[in-house]
Amino acid sequence: MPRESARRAIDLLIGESSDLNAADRSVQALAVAERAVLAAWRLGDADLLVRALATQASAQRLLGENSAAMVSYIEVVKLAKDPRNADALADPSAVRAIGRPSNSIRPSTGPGSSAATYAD
Amino acid sequence: MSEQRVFQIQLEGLIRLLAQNLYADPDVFLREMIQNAHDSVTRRAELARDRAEGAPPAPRISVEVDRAAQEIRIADNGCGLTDAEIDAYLSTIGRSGTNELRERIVAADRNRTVELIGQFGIGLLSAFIVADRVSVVTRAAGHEALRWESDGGREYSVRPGHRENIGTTVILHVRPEHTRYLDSVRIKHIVRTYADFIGVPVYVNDDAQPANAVTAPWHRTYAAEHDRFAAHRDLWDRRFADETALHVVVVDEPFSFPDAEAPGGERTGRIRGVLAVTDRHTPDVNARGTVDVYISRMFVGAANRDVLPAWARFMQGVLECNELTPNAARDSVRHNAALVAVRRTLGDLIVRELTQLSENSHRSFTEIMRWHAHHLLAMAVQPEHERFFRAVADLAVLETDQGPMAVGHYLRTAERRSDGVRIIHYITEEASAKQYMLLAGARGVRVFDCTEAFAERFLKKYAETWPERARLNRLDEAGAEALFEPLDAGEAARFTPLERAYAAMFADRSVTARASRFEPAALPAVLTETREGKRRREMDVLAADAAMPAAIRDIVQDFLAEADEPLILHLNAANPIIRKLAARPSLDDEVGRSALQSLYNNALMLLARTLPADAVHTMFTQSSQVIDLMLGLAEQVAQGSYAEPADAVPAPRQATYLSCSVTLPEGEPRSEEIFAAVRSVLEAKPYYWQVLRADSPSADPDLPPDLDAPPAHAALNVAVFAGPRLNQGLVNEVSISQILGQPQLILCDEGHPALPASFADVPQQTVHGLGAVLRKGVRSGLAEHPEVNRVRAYERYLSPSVLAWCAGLEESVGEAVSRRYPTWSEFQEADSADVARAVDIDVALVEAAKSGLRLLAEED
Repeated sequence: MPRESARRAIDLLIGESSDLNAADRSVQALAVAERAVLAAWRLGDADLLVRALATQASAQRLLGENSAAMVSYIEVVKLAKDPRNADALADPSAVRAIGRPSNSIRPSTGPGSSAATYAD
Repeated sequence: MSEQRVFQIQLEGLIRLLAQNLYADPDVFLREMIQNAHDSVTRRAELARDRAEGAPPAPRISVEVDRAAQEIRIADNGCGLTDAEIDAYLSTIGRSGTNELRERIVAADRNRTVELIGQFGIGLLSAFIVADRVSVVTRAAGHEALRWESDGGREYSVRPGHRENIGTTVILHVRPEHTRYLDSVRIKHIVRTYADFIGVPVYVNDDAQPANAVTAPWHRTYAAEHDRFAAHRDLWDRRFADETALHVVVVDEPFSFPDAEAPGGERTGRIRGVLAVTDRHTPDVNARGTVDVYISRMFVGAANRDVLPAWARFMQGVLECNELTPNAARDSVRHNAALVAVRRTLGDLIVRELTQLSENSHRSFTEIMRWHAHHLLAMAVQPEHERFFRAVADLAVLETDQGPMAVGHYLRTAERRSDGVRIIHYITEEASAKQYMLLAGARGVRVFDCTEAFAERFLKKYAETWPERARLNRLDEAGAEALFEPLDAGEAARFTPLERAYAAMFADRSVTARASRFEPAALPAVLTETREGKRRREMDVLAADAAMPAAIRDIVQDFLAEADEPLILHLNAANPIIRKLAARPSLDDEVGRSALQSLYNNALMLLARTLPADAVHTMFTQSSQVIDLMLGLAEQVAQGSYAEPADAVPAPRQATYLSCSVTLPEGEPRSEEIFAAVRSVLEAKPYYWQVLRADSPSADPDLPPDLDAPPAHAALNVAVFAGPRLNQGLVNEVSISQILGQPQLILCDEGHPALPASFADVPQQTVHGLGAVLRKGVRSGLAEHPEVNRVRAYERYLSPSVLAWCAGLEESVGEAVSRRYPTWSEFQEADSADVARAVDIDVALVEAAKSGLRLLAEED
């Protein structure tokens, strides 16, 4: 049960960050996502960590912090490739989070975004 | 170095121990005896076949109860046992002669299937459940009769016996504590339970008729399909006499499952029987659909929970599947690949059947929906049941603020955006549901109550599947803005002092006050909460949980320490108290502060939020003051010194006239002609009813919400069937009204395709032609309808057409008058100048209309 309440709290942080992102409040979204990443890492929960990292990456990208976003996405991919996480990442929301980087890492016309930036 | 050693078994007492502990129900001793007898007669037929002998005598099993001798004797005319077989099978625990016969047959011819039941070679043990001694008298073809006896100990005896015919008789010497089995009624009941469909007649004592049905409906052949269905239905009705089948499904499904030992690694099988959707409500989340299971004609267990898919809680039935494997006690089935395949096959069958039902019989499906909406929604949202979802999406019934309603029906009358997409309003929180339903209901907006699991998922899937049809608006999570009308700048300025006063009261910014206009006007203030606010509230609760790991709690509390999302306090500009408060020169006195606090507390309670202790104390104090004031006012009224405030909120007006709701197929010009004919008949003498299209908003914005909902509250619903095709949407509407028991009349245009047979009990009138001919047909249908002729007191509805006739008022003017004064009496009693001012016409016209109505009333 303690794990469940912790999981739920982290889930709420991720939801909060996503909503803030959607409302164009990316600075606040990033702050919340960073907390979610830290909490998921402390809990050792791969599913939540992947989702929190993906949300963090979205906020970083919207803020034009593309290198930082790339690092977050790479973390997601590393976690996804680790066979020890196979069961934990079977959850559909985790699968979506893992799928997001492959859609996101492409040249964009947004501010600060370029293929070269991603290649750094 | 290791050496192989052999287990030693102390047989003394083991047989009795096994017998009495293996089986949960002592009745099964008779099942085992009958099953052995069945296998024996089957074996005799097989041996005759092998030896090319003539056909053996007709199989027969008899059970004789002998109270005097304290014996139960089970006799068969099967193959009997030789001396060697007695040692090999009867006296060797775990060795099954039936199994060996089965394997021999399969080895000789893989295509042959013989229904043999025995499997484990332990059936005879069960005799010792009720008997302290068992005797077997048996005679095989070409051998002398033998008598085997055992008291369940280590040793048994075999000696010459006496028996004229080939076969076996098992004699159970019943123990004194089991003499209740020496009762033929009880024995017959057990035979019917366990061996009803065994395929061999089982006679009890001297009865001329067998105690069992001998064969199941699925083992028989039928001249016609309806006979087959009737036999299966009859079995279901008799087996589950306390329940009602809403829809019966005859099961005869092939299936396959992986089996490494079978050629090609796969085996095939068949499931036969009968399932039905029951009228049994199963609110328990652990409840499952149940079936009585038969394997190779022998009853294995009642109400098995593992055979049907978990979601099929609304199904119940009887099934036989010979590929399932019983456990050793044979009161349940083993969990294996065959069971998984059976469950999947039955799931597919149920989905297929319900899909077809939804397409072919809306009425039946809608009725099932009303019973089992929750489970069907749960099934429909599963990705693997996409076709089912698409078939039933519009027929799915969800709870609304006005009772259960089909999604399709909701959409037909829902608010339409400029792009044609309809808005679905819904709520998910039980606690605050009343607030949002009150707000939405007052505006005539219907709300789906999605507090039950799966309802929201179903709606989301609907909106994702058909974005051009529906868009969701969750009212209890930042979706209620549509209920609050913004004020223009001039009016908004009047309420600024009030908003500022609240800002001062909540200096911590936990509440932000905003003036707007919303319904009902009697409600002065409500609170709404954003999604972020809800989330923080939940996190607050989680952070307070002592079980939360400290490392995570620190992060959550750190987040919560930041500025909170404020609650929005909506102040109703239409409410007289709010207007009075806003008009006060100062709100900073005791009365002002108390009023603000009281309005906030009431709003907090309406949102179903817990009040802090000091707020509760304040409320009680204020409540006492209000009661004191009321008592003072009552005294003033008694003394005649009280004058009612000018801007008191009027009590909602009750509809005193009758209305008729007409449902039309969209885009069908002919239906408009029929609608006009209905109006011309019902709005005129002698009826003077209101006639509304089913999808039109209410004509009277002041009507209370429960009357603002045609067709649910109309005195009569008329459905118009016109055009070259049967309109499925209309068929659904009529079916739903049928189930709800609403008075209906179908007007069917001549030449329209035949209506479903299920509408036979709905009054119908065929109409044709135009003008007077059409009106005559419509009038005839209405005049014969019992609801139209029902004697009751009601007022005459003042329709625009009556006003046009009396005073030549234009349609739009007539509508404006009718909206304000929906009945003749209200119009006549109103001040003509007020009416003229309100609808912007000359007073003379109003007078002319009144005069015309008086003349009309005199004629009547």
